[in-house]
Amino acid sequence: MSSMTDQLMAEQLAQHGTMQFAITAPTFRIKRPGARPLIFEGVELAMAMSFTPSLPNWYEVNLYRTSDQRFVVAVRLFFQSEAEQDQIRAWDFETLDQALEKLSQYDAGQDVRVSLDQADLSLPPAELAAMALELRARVDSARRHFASLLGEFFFELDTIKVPVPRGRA
Amino acid sequence: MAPEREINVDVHISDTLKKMYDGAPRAPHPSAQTALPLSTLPPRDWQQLSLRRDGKPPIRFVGTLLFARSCIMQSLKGHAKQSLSIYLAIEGTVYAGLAFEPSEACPAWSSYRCAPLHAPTDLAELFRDWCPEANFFPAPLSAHCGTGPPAARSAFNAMAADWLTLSVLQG
Repeated sequence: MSSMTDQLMAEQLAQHGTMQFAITAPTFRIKRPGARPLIFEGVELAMAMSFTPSLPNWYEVNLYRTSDQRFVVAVRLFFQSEAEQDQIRAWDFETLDQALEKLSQYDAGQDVRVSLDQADLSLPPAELAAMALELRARVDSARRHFASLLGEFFFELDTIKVPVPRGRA
Repeated sequence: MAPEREINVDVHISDTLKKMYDGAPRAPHPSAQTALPLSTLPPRDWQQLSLRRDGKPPIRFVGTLLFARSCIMQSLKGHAKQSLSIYLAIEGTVYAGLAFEPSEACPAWSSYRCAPLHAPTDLAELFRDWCPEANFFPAPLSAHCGTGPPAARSAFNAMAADWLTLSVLQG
């Protein structure tokens, strides 16, 4: 049985209560840095992904509902380069609003990795200033990347669709 | 041949989540608390609106479109549409929305902003913070030859100037 079939069955059953949940819901195990893994039975409610060939990394956002009616949010950061290690952050919440609030407060700037060698004290001030500017630009870019993806996620979640009006060009 | 797709944003929302999200009670946007009394507004074609914004859930309100302008920026790799729209909410709040929508071949993120306008400076602040050129991927990666960001900025400036001029002329 394919994984897609598993997900479809679980979601259909989730609409009818928790009894079926206990029987068929798949088990997820999400590793977290600095914390114990999040292990739960449940279904994936939503996914958003920003894969872009010309960028070195992309995000994947997942929202799950557990069989005990909690909500799990996971933010994964993937790198094109095999030299970089992918990372994942995940949290669980009692309500959907709490989970969505966590997503909207996520700061992608913290995902930017500093390439400056802190042991190298020989850099002139001008070079340090240039590196600081470059770092700030990368932080801004990461935040814009994630905010754009999250805006798409919330737009798809919203059932009221209002197209952007086309005024006189 | 179709242009190479620069961005492959993919979103899947289950029907279960849509029902849960739609059924949840939501507090009105804080901006509505300083609105005008309903009786001061003339009758209009009110409808349920939802203004999209980056990184946050859309702002929902019942209102009507007052004004819209758009422009298209063309670069060596694709194009992007920018638009400005002004809405009146039924309780009297005025909202402004800005959108940047790149074509599939354009190496840039889409971007949406909106804000309630309580004072003339609010619109100026929205315009000042709007940075279409920052939506483009870093130049060495996107290979847009540097034409996209300045073209996006100049297109937006021209659109905003056109609208502001029209607003002044029409009083």
